[in-house]
Amino acid sequence: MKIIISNASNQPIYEQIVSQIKASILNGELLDANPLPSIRNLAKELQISVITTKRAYDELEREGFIVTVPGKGSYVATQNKELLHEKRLKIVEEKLAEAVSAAKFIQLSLEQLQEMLSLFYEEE
Amino acid sequence: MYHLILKDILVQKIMIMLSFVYIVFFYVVMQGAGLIILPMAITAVTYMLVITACAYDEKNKADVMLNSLPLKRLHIVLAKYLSVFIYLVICTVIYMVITILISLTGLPVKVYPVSLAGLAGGLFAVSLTTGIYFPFYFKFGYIKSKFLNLILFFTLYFGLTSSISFFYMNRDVAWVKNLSSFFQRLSDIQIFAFLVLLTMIILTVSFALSLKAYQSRDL
Amino acid sequence: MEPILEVKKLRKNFKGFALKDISFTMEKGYIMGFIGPNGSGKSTTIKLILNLLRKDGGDIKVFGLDNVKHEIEIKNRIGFVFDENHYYEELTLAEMKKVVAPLYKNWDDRAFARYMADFNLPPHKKIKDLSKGMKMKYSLTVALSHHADLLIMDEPTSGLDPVVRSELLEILTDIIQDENKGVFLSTHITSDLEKIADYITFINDGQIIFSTSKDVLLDQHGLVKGGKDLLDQDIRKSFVYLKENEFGFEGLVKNRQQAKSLLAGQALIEKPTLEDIMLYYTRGL
Repeated sequence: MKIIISNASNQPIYEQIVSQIKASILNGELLDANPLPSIRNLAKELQISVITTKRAYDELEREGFIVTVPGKGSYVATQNKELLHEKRLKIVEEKLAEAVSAAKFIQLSLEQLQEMLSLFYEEE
Repeated sequence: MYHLILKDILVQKIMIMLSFVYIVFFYVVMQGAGLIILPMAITAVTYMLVITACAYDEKNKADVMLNSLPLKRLHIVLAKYLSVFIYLVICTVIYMVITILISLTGLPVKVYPVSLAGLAGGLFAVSLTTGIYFPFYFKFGYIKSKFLNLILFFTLYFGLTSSISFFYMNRDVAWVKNLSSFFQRLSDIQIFAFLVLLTMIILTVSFALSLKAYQSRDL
Repeated sequence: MEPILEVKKLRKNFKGFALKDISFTMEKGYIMGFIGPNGSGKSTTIKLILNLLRKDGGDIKVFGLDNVKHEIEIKNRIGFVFDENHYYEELTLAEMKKVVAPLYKNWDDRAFARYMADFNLPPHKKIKDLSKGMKMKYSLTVALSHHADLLIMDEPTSGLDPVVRSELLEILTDIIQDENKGVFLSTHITSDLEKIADYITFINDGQIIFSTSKDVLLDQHGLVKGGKDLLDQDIRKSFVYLKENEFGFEGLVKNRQQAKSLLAGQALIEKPTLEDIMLYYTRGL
């Protein structure tokens, strides 16, 4: 797992952690029941405050991505397979929506956009 | 507490080695003073070591550091009082060594071996001076007590010598006669005991004052 | 959870300066930064906690114990690092250790040897021959060698180069890996705290202005810059302090969200640094 903190970003540090851990879970890099670094250890490694990492973990727990066992540590929550699929689908939808609005901005037609999409899809 | 005394000795290692030179100096220069050499030398050098230790504490702002350690202020004060006796012992030993060295080498210097009365005199004079100095030191700190320190040192010196000459010149006045015959009737041991008692009283009062001053002081 | 340090209505009067009934609480497991301009009362507060000064009122509890009644017990569990060294310059590091070590109940000679080696400290050099950074590391070594639960530091980074400062910060985050320990550190170099501090207590002219989590502080406040035409009575009121020049204004607001909704698109609204917050509060009071 990779976490990179930007101090220049307008996004609060805890949000940066949340989104990066979420991404690692959603793209399958972190699997069900994988252990996460302890709150204090993560704070030390990233040289940020304990409260910040705690807040990030609280947020992840609230959203159901991780579970914390008191005295033991935090783990990737066993995801409901359908739910996970839905979440991943949602990401695709969001990105596509972004692409659509960008396309509309430069008055790209649906056909042109679809052509572009199939080109990318086959390329990968 | 023992470690605080060790600290005072460690910081002034060089000073303690120099004490040897100072005492030799007293021995040679004060030859005419006779038996007074012993109390004078050990008083002066002990007092000097006490003051130097206080000066190092001041220089290093030790009050802040010492009181941040798990130490009671009582122990810090007590250590300073006890260190006086350690210095006195060190100086006496140095004096004895010098006396022995002089007799062994046959130098043309008259030797005055350590005597009980001389020691008692030294003990008394040191306790008197440090007994007056410490309460001021613990109340006001080293810098503000510096002036007092000078006064004490000179009073001790001129006081001691002039009172000796005073008693010598007025040896025919009745009360001086009585006093001296009173002391002459006493044995060395009795004089020793009398001075030790007086010393104890001075030190007890002085210690109580120092402790009270230091315990209420803002560092 | 029981606070590791609790200051309640603490008062101390000096000629020309007073600590005015200050209160704050620190939980264990965290780093609290104590900030404020020079002469604001940081050192006075720390000296009162260590019972070097006699308080004129209020309560101080360390580890839940009264700091005067349980002074020795508390000091056995406190490690201190001061701006100036305060150890005996004439002694070598090994000699100084010989004096200090026996005073602590929990002194650990092996830990001492380990830290001395880790920090590359020469045991037989005199303290006066050390660089400022090494002196600080030596103080830290002594503090860590009796396994102190609470580290109290008064301006430990002043006069140090950035490399040593960042080393110190790493050590501090290392210490609170143990969630029963805590670090209380005063500084006027706020950038040191920007990253690692969990809580910030800000003192100015003997009064606590706030004592809160650093994240909340940085997330809520906003630095607003814009043209002077934007400033009307209501908007002016929302600023902690406002600087105006010929071409525009720059100021700190307590509520960044509100400022965004009021001035979005018209003014530049940024996340402030701790230094911005400290400066604007100091000037705005």
